[in-house]
Amino acid sequence: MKMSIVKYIIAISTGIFLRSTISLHSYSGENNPPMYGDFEAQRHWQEVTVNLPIKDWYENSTDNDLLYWGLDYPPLTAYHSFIIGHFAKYINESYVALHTSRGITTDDHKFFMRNSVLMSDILIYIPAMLLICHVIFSKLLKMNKEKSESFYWLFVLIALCYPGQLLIDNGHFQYNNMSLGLAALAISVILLDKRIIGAILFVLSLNYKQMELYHAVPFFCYLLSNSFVESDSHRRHSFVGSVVRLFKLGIIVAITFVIIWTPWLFSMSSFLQVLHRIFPIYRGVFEDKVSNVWCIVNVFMKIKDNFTNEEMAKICLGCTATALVPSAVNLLFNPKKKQFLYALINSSLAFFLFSFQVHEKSILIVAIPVILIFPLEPFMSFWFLQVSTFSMIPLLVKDGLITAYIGLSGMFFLMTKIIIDNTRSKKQENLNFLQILWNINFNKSRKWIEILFTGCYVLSTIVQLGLFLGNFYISPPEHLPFLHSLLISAFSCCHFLFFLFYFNIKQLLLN
Amino acid sequence: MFYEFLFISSLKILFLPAYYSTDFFVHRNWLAITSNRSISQWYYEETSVWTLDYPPFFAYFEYVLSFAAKLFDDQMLKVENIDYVSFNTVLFQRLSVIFTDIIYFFGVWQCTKYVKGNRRIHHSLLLLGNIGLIYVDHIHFQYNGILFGILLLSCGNMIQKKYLKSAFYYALLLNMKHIFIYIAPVYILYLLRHYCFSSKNTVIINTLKLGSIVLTVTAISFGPFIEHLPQLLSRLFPFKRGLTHAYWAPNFWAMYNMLDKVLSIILNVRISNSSTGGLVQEQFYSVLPQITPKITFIITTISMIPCCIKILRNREDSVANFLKPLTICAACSFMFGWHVHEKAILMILIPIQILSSNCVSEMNSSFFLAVFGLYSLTPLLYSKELIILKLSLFVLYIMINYYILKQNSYPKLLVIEKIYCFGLFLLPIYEFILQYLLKFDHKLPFMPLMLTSVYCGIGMFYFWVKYYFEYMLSRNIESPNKIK
Repeated sequence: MKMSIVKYIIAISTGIFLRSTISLHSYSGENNPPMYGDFEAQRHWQEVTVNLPIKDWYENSTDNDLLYWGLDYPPLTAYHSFIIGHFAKYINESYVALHTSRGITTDDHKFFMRNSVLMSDILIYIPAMLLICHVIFSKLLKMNKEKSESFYWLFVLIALCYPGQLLIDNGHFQYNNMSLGLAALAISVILLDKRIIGAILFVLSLNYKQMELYHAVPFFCYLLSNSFVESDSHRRHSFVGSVVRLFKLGIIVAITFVIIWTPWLFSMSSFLQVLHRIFPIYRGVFEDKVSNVWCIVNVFMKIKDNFTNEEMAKICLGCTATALVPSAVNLLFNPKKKQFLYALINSSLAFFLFSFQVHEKSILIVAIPVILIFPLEPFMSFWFLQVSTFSMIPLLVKDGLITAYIGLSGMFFLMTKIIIDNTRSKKQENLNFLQILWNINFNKSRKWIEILFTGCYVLSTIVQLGLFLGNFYISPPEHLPFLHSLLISAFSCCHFLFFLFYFNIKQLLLN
Repeated sequence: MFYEFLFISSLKILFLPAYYSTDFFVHRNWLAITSNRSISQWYYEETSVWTLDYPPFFAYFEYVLSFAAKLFDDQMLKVENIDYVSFNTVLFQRLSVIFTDIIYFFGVWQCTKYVKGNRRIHHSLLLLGNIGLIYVDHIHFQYNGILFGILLLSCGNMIQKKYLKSAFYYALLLNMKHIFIYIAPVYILYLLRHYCFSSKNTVIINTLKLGSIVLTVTAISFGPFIEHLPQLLSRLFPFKRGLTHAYWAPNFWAMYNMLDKVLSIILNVRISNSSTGGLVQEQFYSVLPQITPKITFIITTISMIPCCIKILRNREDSVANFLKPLTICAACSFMFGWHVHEKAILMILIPIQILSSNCVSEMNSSFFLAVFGLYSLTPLLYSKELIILKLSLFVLYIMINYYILKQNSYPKLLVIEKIYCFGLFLLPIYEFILQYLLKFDHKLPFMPLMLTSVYCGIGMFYFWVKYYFEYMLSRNIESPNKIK
């Protein structure tokens, strides 16, 4: 057998093995009536889509109580639920029986639902990650796979085993792997200069989860500017040719949208109803504790008392736009592929930190481009991935996924350390693994900068450990029952602000 | 190497909510017995059917654990709480296995001491992450990690020629779980040959030293039970069980059972008592002669004799000269023993993995054995949410095994062995897909298990014969300075 095949099998089976193990753990809202959690939401959507005609999916009716986990994702999610729902119906009708199936909690049903997530991992997420790792490593960075072999496989393993995605999709229960996988596919296709297919894939991803809007600005800027200037070369298209290219792209995107939205396009009211469901201004600026700016601001000034939801939405829009401008403008004038990757991080991070109705899980949308940048920024990427998983602890505690968190984070950290240690060359004999990670992209930096940053990383890890242990062993004072979650959110938020600053600087300084 | 151990340990944490077998309740009950009953009552207590049937040192081990258990949930220490489960109980039991695996780590450390550089890291990763142990200990639930740890400490000391230490650890091991008596002939003969009779001047002193160590350990273990010895022994050696387990371990008797089935169908004899029916205590053959414990004992002993003679004739005390007969002895008792558990395959696999980390030429056999040996353990985890888990873990481990051995351009399998390894894929394909397509799942429900044990049994038989012959025919290589 060829060794590269053996390694691919190892990587893929590692991904599947970890996911199937996390599937054994509890899910959000397990045995927690009356509302249960995201698991029940996903199941309820299957129930609704299988039993009701398409045009009623988003409408409130006696058979579709929107206050009980009404559909609030775009049509592709609904179609996906529809397909899985039919499988469920085939296996056991009680899984999706109208009304009576609410809050079903049997082992067989859990097994079915877990496997449906695992299937989308196997069909979409894992192949997408393998493809994009290959594209970025050998096509974009032109790194030699044989020469830096272990580094490449570390990259692949990090992409497949990132704890955050596993914990949310296979633990908490969601299908982020679909939207993230589609987005990753879109990015890799665009990096291969197939603009149109890339645009279609991104539209699909956007229509799976509206949160993919976090990535939309870089896609828009890159594709727009790319219609005029060929990326990574300075060849300009003629003005007419460019307009035709742009027009073609626009038409394709529009057609894709229309196809996906067809069932709701025949009446204005049903179209608006879907939009209203997807962008729920009425739900407030954030729920629970999120590591973004508003959650921190809220500590000092109660947002709900000072602003209405509409006002707040405008403020969020303004702040997000401001944070977006530097990276978007830069990308617009330099439509280079590396710029595109950085811009994806900057845009999604700006959205996460400043926009309206952010969930803690949305950090995954930032994490994907950060994973992709790993070969360029191993140290920062590793740090970010660690903190991003950490930032979800309040949610994981609620779902009973803490043991999974401990195991996966430990595995992730040690895996990186072991692989890096094994690649150490003679020259690096005296360096620890952090220094090696650091030196991969900053080998010309001054010594004190290296010490400063690796020191900061160590400090950050120690504080994370402290906060984690404190969460379990120190009970918060009575008048501040959410102190722990708040501390964890604030601590992670500081990191994210730093990363926003850092990745913006990096993007702007890129030649 | 310690980081590799931590890495594997963090993976083990993920199995916390997984299915566990009745062994979980067995061990909980033993915790309760040892912490609540006076020491003289330990082997008489029978509130639960899971009576204490391991030797005293294991009981002491449970006694020590019970102090930590108190901190988690003291309800689990009540003897009357027979099927007691709580989150903290599970947490404690699982963590106790994960933590006591540190002994296994020390064992691997000792055994790979002479392996150099990256190869040591790679092979220790293979040993530490042995999925057989993960299946059996961390999902199914048992304490094999610490037991094999002690075995490896003993082997490691033997390799380093620290004979007394090795004998001490082995005596300790025997007093924790008596199943390791299967390999006692190798220990006895090897120590006699290379320690007691190594030079004529020290025969008596060395024999005394060795004897006193073994006797002291045994005395400490059995001393407190001296008045209850008959009761203790009756617990340790119950012969009421059948020849084969409910799921046949892949050995000679699995093929014997199968042959009987086939013959009875051909000759149209009515099957009076199905041997795959689950809790069958005694089983009857419709065509072939009945097997009694005595017969299995005799066959096992006879099969070991050539190997034992070879131990005495080998002058060199090398790694291979100790571990090869050890493997063969374990394989003989696995092949022909009475009521052999499928888990006993680890007693062959782990020594041979140690051997292959030390001698490159053993990598073929260790890889071949790992393939079918570990697959034969998968029926232990029968619940359906574990299917993808166990198969992906199996593929992952076998591929890592292959990758690591390829660094030394091994394994070089014969064509027939390659065909056999790939043929193994047919088993899960039948069990999880074909069976349902052909609608055999109701008509022949025992088919997948039977196929698995017979297919793996054939591999085991082939491996046993080949390995035995290779060992018997191998030249006695002696280092030049000893031949004078």
